[in-house]
Amino acid sequence: MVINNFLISKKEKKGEILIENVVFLILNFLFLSILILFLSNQGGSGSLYEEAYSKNIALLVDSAKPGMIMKINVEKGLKIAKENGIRANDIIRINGNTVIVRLSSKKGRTYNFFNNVNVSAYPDIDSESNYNGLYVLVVNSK
Amino acid sequence: MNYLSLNRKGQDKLISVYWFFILIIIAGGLVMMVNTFYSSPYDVRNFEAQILAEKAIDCVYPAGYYNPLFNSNGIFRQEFKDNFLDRCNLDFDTGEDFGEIEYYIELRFDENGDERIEKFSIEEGNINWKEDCKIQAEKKKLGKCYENSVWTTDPTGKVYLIHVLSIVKKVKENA
Repeated sequence: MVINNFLISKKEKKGEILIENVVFLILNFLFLSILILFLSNQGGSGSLYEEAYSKNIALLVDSAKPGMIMKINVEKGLKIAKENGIRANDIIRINGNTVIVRLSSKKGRTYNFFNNVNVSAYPDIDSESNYNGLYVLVVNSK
Repeated sequence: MNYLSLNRKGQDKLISVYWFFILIIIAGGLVMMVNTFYSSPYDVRNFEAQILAEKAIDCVYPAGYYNPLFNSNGIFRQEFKDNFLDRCNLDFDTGEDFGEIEYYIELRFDENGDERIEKFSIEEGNINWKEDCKIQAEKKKLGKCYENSVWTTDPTGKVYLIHVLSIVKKVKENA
């Protein structure tokens, strides 16, 4: 009887993939994916670049003298603006002594400078009329 | 002997609830840390204050000589002091109707470097920010101060030490 039971129990010991374990693994994977997506989105967000560009430009203009022409690399900003449907000409605007940088449909970031000059900003284009990722700042006296 | 034929599936459903609870706590902490890091602006006021001070010095003492509009034959002109911002191409206007001035600049001319013999001084901007420089603690809500000194000589050969103090407040954009 014991031997019979032993043989029976040996035959019934098939391996089983438990549904619960599979669901558990899938949920874990989903959870971690969402977390990683969120973290990577935060790093590449437009508001970070808006702040960086507005402050950099304000500092450049503060240090500049009339007659200077400066070019800054805004390649990443152009890419983000294009994804958000913002035209290249509207990314950086200078209004009086305020720099306005906008990479999305939100209001963007502003930063004041103290240099009393006229600054005009426009995107640089190459010989084939394509944007080359640079923005030109022209500083003139008022 | 019946226990040998019992279904041996383990009941681990209760443990997985705790597992997700811990995951949620860890994820929540991560999200909070990332949000705190990316939402706090980075501070450029130190550089701004330095640029402002250097600009002021360059205006009154460009290229090793006193600006003739400011000091001629050893005489400091009051007119230059009264129009300092215009003369040095500085604009402290924020563009807002009732906005506070976020800058302060002060130049003090001490004859022979002696603080007791202050021959001339120029102050422009919001003098209230000067108190922030006296507080030793590093706090983001205070203005950032920059100080420097430059030895100069006027056309008559008199020696002056120019102390420049520049302050940038701009707490909203930088803190």
